[in-house]
This record gives sequence, structure tokens and C-alpha cells, in this order.
Amino acid sequence: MQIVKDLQALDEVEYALDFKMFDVGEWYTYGFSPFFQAFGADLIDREANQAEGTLNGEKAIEAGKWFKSLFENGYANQNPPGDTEFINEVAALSWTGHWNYNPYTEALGEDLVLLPAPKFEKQATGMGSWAWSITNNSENPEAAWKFLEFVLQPENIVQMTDANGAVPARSSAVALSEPYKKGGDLNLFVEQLETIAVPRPVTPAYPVITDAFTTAVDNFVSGGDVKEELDNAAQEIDQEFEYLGIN
Amino acid sequence: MLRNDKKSITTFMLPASILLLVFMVLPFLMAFGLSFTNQRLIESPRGTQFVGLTNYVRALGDNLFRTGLTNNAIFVLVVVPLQTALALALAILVNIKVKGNKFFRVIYFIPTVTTMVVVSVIWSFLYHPDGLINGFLTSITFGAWDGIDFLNNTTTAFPSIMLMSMWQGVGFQMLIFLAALQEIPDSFYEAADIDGANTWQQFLYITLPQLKNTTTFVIISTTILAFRLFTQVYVMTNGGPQNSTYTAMLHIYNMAFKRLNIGYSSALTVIFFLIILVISIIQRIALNDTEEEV
Repeated sequence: MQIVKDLQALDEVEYALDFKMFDVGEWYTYGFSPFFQAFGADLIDREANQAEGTLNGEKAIEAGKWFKSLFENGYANQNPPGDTEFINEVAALSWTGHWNYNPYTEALGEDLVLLPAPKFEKQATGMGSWAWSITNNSENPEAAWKFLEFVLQPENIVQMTDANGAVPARSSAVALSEPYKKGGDLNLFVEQLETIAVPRPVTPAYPVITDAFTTAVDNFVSGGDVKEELDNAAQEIDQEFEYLGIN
Repeated sequence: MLRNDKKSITTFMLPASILLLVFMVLPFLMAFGLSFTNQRLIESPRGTQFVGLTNYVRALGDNLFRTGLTNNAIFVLVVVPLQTALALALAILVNIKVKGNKFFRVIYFIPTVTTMVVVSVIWSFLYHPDGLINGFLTSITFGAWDGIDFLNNTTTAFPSIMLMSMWQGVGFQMLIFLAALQEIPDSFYEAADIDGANTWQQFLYITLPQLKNTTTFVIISTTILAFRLFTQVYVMTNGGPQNSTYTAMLHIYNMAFKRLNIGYSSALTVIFFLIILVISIIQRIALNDTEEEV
């Protein structure tokens, strides 16, 4: 927190932090639920399939209030005009994903530094991205698997990740990747994924969980009450668990 | 050469009827059926089951839906009278026979033929704290104006969207009024001139009564369009800040396509349809009554 304050005090820094708040949607869950997990809370109680008491529990409210305070104190812009704050050197720190590595190095070159995720009660980062799959009613699952097997060979994965900045999802591919291999600029991502990353809840209720959480964060950051918003979100999520009959 | 035989009537009716049937009637009947099921957007492994009135019971306790309906009602109450009056005023203005009135007709009509999404995106830039509107206000007040984040403030967000919607929609109603104005025979005004009626009296006792049917149509169609408020809100604020611009249509969309609950959003659609139907019927009766008194 002191670091954020010190950064904000610098004349050339307009905002200490860039949270990409224009991107209201899955980014909110991907980017900001790790703060809740780092405070010791979570989106839902994953054993009981219940949000009540977890998403609106004491620790979650504490996380929400901390996050809201960053905007209230002017450390971050709640309504940025677009994704230019970091590249234009308006913001000092950017909370984002590996996909921005290529555009960021292009803009900042050697000045770009990758930092570990902040530690509260513990550290946490998001994980999981686009995935390959073969559907149940695929007419030709064997051919599909052959294709995937070929595409997901380490050399081919590295070609993809070099282009889109993603983390290679196979250890054998990590070793081949210039930025991600041991000692590479982005090896921190691999390290964090292996130790502190938390997957988003794997449940049919996920569309409701992510939408309710996004709405709650959007609402309390723009002035709403943290507890009230999280209560609403928890109630909507539990309603969905009940609707689906999986609580 | 009017041919009122059944064959030609059917031929002309057929294309529109097929389109209406396939894209309006059929989906609505499907929605009615789906509203009694737990249909998901992505088929659930357990399949779709009949759930009776569950969705309707849930809708009654849905706070967000109620917020949406309240906002819709406010929007209709503010926008319909203002937009109708503005449309009439513009129609009278561009109907004055001076050089260049056709030019102004086109100018006022341009926003209407521009896609709502494009208009919304451009107005988002105008309303931004560093945008044109704040910049203009700052420069004419010599810096005394403090930039307002119009779309991110619970008190200004909804009025900002109302203003922009009226600006976008008014051209269409203006055109309908203009057509009706040109239908009024000049002889009425000439007779009134001879009787010594001034312009205001002519407007009140000739123009307004002659426009009665048109006004009814404009009010009802504007009301229905206003209830369907969606695109502007979806693009500019997504219902926020703090649900201050949340509308019923946005809620239905969110339930169906963000939360994948087709059954529930179908039930909301049916309820929403009934509400608009009742309001349209009441309006029709009320406006027709005054017509008979004239």
C-alpha cells in the first residue's frame, strides 16, 4: 500500500494503478476475484456450492472495501477512456494478463518489468483461458483428437504463444519458449501458475457467478455499498444453484 | 385501376404476413411455451423439463426486474411527451415555406437513419469527462465548469441517455407530423385569416385538431419504442452506475444471454409484453375519447 502511495505522490504519475475498468465483463472475474482469494475469501464455497457466507463473508467485504478504496483515493481511474493508461505512461502499474506482454514491450521496451502478485493473507492470481475440446456429439472424435495431438505438440504451442503472448500450457513447451523458460522474462507467470493460481469455479452455475460478481464490483466501485452489492450477488448465485438443483 | 379482388390482396399481403409470422408470431408463441420450462441456452445434460409457474413466481420477487420496469416507466413518462412536442415543433419549423427547408428536413432526419450503436458510441465520447460537452462547458464558463462524468454518475446517467435518445428518435416522428401537416388544406388557414385569427389561434384550433389521429399514432408508437429501450443502455452504461439506467429489456437480455436462462427470460418477456399491451390499450381508449369530444 505504501508503494502505491509513493507512486501516486510522483508528479509524472496520474494514477498509480491501471485496472482496465472499461472492460466490464469476464475481465472483472478473471482479474479481481484473485484479490478476494488473496484476502482469504472466494466467489463461492466450492464444497457446498454456496455463495452465502463466502462471497459476502467478512473477508470478502474487507477485500471489496480495499479494492473500492483504491478508486476513492484516486490511485486508479474508475472510468478510463480506453486501454491506453499504461502505454501512454499515465499509470505506473498495470494489473493485466500475459496477453499484454507483446504490446507493452513494443511500447516500453527495456523499461517493462513484471512483478509478482501482491500478498495479503496470501497470494493469488487468475488462471485458465481458451481451451481445446471435443464435443460429445462429435462425428469423428478420433480424427479430432489426431488433429489436436498435432496442434498441441510443444513446437506448435510455442509458435502460438510467441504470437499471442500466452503461457505455453505444457511443461515441455515452456522449456522451448524464449520468454517463459527458466530465467526468461516471463517465467514468473509459470511459477505463479504452478503455485498460487486459483481456477474459477467449475460449475454449470458459472455464467451467473461471473455476471453477478462483475455487476457487484462494477456497482460498488461506482459508489455503491460493498456489503449490499455482495449480498445481492451471493443471493443471485445461490438462487441459481437452487434452480439447477446442485446445492 | 384498383383491383379489390381477393387474389391480388392475398398476393400483396403474403410477403409481409410470412415475415411477421416467422419472425414475430412464432418466436412469441415459442417464448410463451418456453416460459413454463427450465430451458437453457446451452442444453443442460438433464434436458429441458416442464416447471409450471416457477419462472413466473421468481419474476414476482425479482428486484432487478422491478428496477428495470421503474426506470422504463420514468423514461416513458419523460421522453414520450417531450419527444412528441419536439417532433411537432420541428415539423412546423421545417414546413415553413422558406428557401432551404428541405436541407433542414434532411439534417434533422440524419440521426434517425444512423444506426443506434454508432450514435451511442459517439455520444459516449461526447459525454466523457474529457469529452466535447465538458470541454465546451469549460471553455464557455472560462474554466469555472468542473468536468462531469455524465454516464458514470447516478443522477446524470439516465437523463443523458434520455436526451440522446430523443435527439436520435425525434426525426422519425417529425417526418410523420410533417406528412400530416401537408395534408391540412390551405383553405382552412385562409378562412381563419379572414376571420381574424392570429397564428397561435390557428395552431390551436386548426393544426392541433387536424393532427389528432397522427398524434395518437405518434404517442403510442413512441411509447412502445421507449419501452424497448435497450441498445443505448447496453452500449453506453450497461445498466450502471448502480443500476440507475437498468431497463427491463436489458434484464431480459442478461438473463437469456449472460446467465443462459432462456426459460426464465421467456417468462419475463411474456410479463413485459402484457404490461405494454395493457398500456397501449389504455392509451388508445383515452386518446380516442378526447377525439369524440372535438
